[in-house]
Amino acid sequence: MSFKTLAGLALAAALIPSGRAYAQDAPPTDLRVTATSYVQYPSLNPVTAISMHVGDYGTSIYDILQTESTNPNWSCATAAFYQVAVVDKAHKVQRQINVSAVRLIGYGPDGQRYTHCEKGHPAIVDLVLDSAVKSGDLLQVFVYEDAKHTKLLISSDGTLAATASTEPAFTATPQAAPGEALNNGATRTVGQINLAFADTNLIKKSPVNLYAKSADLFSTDGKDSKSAFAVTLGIQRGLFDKWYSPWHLEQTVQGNQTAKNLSTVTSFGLNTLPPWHWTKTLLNNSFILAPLPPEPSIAGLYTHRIHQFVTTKTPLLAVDDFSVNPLFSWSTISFPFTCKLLFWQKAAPSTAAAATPDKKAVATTQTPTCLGTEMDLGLWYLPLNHTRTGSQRVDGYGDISILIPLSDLSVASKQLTYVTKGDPTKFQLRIKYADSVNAANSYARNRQWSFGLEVLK
Amino acid sequence: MPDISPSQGVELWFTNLRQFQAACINTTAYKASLLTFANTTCCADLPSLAEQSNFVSAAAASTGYDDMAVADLATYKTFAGLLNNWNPLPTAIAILLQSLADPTLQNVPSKAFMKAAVATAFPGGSTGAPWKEALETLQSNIPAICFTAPFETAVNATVDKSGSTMSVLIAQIAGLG
Repeated sequence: MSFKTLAGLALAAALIPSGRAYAQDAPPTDLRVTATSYVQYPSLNPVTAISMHVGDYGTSIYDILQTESTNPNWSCATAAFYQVAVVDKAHKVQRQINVSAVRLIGYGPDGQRYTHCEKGHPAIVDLVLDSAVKSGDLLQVFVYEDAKHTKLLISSDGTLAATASTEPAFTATPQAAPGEALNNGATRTVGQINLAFADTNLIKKSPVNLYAKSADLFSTDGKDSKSAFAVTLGIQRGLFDKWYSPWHLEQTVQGNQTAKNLSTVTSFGLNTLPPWHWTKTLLNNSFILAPLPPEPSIAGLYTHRIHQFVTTKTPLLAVDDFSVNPLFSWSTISFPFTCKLLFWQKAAPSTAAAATPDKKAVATTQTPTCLGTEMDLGLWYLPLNHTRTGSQRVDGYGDISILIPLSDLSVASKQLTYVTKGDPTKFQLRIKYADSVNAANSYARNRQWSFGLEVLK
Repeated sequence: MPDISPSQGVELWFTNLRQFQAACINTTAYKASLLTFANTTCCADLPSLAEQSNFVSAAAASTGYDDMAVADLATYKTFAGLLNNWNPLPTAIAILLQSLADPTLQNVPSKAFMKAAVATAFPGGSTGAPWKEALETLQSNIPAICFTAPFETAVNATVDKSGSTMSVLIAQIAGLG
């Protein structure tokens, strides 16, 4: 159905006396809609939808819904009363978009999800899109009084641009590679094609997010040292419904295009934030401020090498590798008492002087400056590796950084006004000591000091 | 689900605000007064992506606003602004006032009610019986810290001001204070 047809039907409907005040004029086109894409928690499934803002008092859609709430044959929760179309700039319908579900967003006073629309509740109705939508597509939403779409109630203005694509992403990039190195030590000019595929949601309406992706490079010569493929299938979900705790499990098959190098990699991970408010007194005072909790995470990696193509540059590796990497990161710790030291020009943010609970709350949420620190602590547990004494191998590592915002140094504030003016955290000095373990280099240990000047966003 | 009364609509907004505050578990805004919390900048209180994600998942689970995204925290700036996207307080206030307004305005479309003069909706001004009843109902549904005595004085001044429309009055009350 073209836009002209729709408009004609709408005009005809408007001319038929219906007794409803809003139907005496042409259907309004001021339905407020926004494009939305989000990840549902805990399923972690991506959703692409159009949000209809139906709860704004004083708008056409609000009054229409009040009228329709007495119509026993109409429901704002039924997809049949909606139409979504991709339109061009002249509002001509290019194609229809399937609406897979209508979601009434929010819980009522009884704690149950809304089942119908009344008196501004819900304020948002999401039309979940099923058909392929490309980023930049212009979308128009039509709301009808009947499932046959003969009587238009209201529409959006057709200027909504889709911000996310629902299509699986696929790219293919051919290229010529002159003088490419081959596995036999020779070089020659070859043709290559880079392929990338990603589908972020293989099964819709699933309690877990199932996804697939691949990144490949195929060559016209099977001996091309750069030929590679990596196909990944993964699932992810939140561990707890009301606490951010995403975990994932991935299986990757990777190798070169002739499969002379072939391995499987299984990885898993979990990260979360612990409860933190109980530390308000202990870690929120004039000595130390730590408004953010440490972020614990754990990641595991199991690699099984099925075939190995051994060359002078690629030595034989263990058939099985297994590592577990728990990590504990803690950032944004600061020491307000250091603001009183010689080189700092500002006093520490006062929390005690605030007169009212409100002001105190605001004061304690201020970003502390002067001297801060960050730290990471982790270890690599390698169950399949053993030390010289025969025990299982565990390598700990960590780093600690001292952070000094430049604007708080009196000398920097006066002499380096460009880097300090107006933004207290624009630049900061970082002094870091790291005792690190490089997993990519046989877990080689390295200790080093580093000094740097950082620009903050 | 039974119909939501005008009073329940206003109460639900503050219930949602408290649910948002409870979702800020790791932050100092958790213990701020409701009014301070309403006007707190989301990203200032939840500076890291992990904290923002944590808030979004906890808030969505308790309120049902599960199309909330981390980007919304920056878009709507304050927690009150964020909540107004899913549950606009002006709507709840307007519905409540319309239910208490002069009978000639109680069944008009919302557009017409927004344009109506306050003097028509509540004859007698701030000292008239209709507005006194409306004020009492508002105060019984809005926490005292969000409807202080100075704020009440300012609202009454709008009610008494010649030419005030309901849209102005509703916006003022929904601003809290």
